[in-house]
Amino acid sequence: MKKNIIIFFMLVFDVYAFIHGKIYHVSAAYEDFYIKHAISAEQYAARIRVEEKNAQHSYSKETMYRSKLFLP
Amino acid sequence: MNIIKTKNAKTFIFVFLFLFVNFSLYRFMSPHTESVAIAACQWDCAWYMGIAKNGYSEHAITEGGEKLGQANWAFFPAYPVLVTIFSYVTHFTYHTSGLILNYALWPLLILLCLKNLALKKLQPKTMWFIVFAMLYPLNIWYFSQYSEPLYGVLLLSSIIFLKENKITLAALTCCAMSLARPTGFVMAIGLALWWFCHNKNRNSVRDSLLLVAAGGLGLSLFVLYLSAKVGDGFAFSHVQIAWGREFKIFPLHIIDNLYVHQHLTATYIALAAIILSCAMVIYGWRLEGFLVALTLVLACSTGVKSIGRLIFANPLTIEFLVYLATSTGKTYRYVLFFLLVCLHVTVIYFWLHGLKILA
Repeated sequence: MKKNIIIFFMLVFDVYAFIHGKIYHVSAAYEDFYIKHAISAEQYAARIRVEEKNAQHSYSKETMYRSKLFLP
Repeated sequence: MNIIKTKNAKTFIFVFLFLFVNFSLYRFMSPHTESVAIAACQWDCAWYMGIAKNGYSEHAITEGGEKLGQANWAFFPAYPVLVTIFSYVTHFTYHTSGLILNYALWPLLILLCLKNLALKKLQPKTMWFIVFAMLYPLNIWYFSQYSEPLYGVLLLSSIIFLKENKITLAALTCCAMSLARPTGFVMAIGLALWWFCHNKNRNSVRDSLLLVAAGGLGLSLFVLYLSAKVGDGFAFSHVQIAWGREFKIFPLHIIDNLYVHQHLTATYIALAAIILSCAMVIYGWRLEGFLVALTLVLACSTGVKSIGRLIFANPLTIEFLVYLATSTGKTYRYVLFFLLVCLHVTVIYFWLHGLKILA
């Protein structure tokens, strides 16, 4: 009986991990390269570099805006 | 009792002596500027050592040429975690810790092979078995910082525990095996299937389910970790595309390669692996043959690269081939001995100098 309960909980955990693992929280470039295989590694790398640049740019813009308004 | 103790001591000294000779060979052949631990670390070893030192990365490599898109998510955590713990306790470098661990696991693996043979009611000539296992040319991954020894020990432990009817221990080793290599969970399923067919008592369904659930538990932990770290729980599988691996149903990769004449060496090795797994089944090594065939199907479904390592350096294959070698006549054994010495030294030399086919 004890073994059956352990098996049941382990299986529930396995199913939960499978479903949770299948829900992706990734960038569009990641999805296109790793999951859909729609772009090449070079295209993926280029897109990631652009995304990083944009993220830095928007971050610096936001920082400037916040500093102007004296926000924390 | 004393005779057994003396025999065990003799075997232990013999194994230790061979390990020392093997280490000396690496020392002698490695470039003078490098230590053995650094020189032995080739190909995927760098990934394992990277994980041991820095943990898993959040992003893939986006700079440089060859490794574009690759990431350490493809490598399972059991071995690097063990290296980190060992390094923390002993204060050795990660490379040295990895090497010491594998040198320590190798005799244990031989011992488990001998135990498995005893359970199969086969009695090999122990000393010859140790000699041939030590000289087996494709055991180089066991003397580098790879996860092969850990996986081998866990796989053979699972088989032995199962044969001895110790289901809980088999389930625990299955769980650890799923954390050691991508094939670990599939091996747990294979073992569960074998147990279900082999052992037709009223508990066989429950025991088989336990093995699958325990194997799944190990994999689930890694999936949840990757999900939190990368945002993709199955990143270990998805990242294979960066190594040029793509899923195709077995044996389409082999047929395609033969048709377009690409990766021919690896393709011929894959064909040899098919023959090997059939031979294992024909020789009565049904479970081992089945598990090797399962590994082959899984490995070949994403390409034929590394098939030599996955099949011919598989602990079950080593056990089978070495047992066959020890079963030959005395003259053949001596011929084989000299042949294996030459091959062993040659393969070590090529390994230390980074031959790509050994990646």
